Amino acid sequence: MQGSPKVIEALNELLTLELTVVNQYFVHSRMCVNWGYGRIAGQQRAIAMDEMRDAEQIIDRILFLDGVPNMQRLGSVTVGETVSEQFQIALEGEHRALELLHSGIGVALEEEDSASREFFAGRLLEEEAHVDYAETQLGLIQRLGEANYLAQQMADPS
Amino acid sequence: MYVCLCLAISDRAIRAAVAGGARTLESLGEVSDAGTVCGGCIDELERLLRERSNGNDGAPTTEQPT
Repeated sequence: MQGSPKVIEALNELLTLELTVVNQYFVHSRMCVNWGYGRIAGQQRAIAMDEMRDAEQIIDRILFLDGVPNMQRLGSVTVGETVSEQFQIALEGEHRALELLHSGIGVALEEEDSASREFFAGRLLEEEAHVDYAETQLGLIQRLGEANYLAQQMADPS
Repeated sequence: MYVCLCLAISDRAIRAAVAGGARTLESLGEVSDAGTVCGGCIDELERLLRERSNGNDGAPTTEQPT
């Protein structure tokens, strides 16, 4: 089914972000394994997989609309040198995801593509949950101190 | 945090280079080597340059590295 080029571009922008954050979560997870923080590593790995599934669904939607998924484009991947930095980077990425979802909803409405509007809107809850996860961890680090927080994160990686 | 992953250059090193007088991607590359390999970090380097220029002359640079 031929989709609006504007909707396809909005989907591609979201795809670029998803592919970027997959890399970020994945390397952050492996760094946590290396540091011995298995609990965080498992959580970050699970989010990386969520984002990968999101990318899969976005690619499918772009193909359904007869567009070309842009697998070439990747945003700047930044890597946290500490666990706190990792969560700050994750939070920025998730805020950007929410912005892109809201602008995608606007584009889909303008282009009278209600199914794509629903597609964008359907992803809001998951991305909000990721924002909440990063905010909660940063809040814990602030209240407990980084060392106390990290002392609770040592476990075998899942 | 690491900004340039090719050469493992952190945001602190970039900010220090900017504070030391680097105002364009080209001069940043000359001073720190950041952004001179794959170019994937250029968006982030531009953001860090803007961060500085917003407090000064307000003119972000879009000059490409050589």
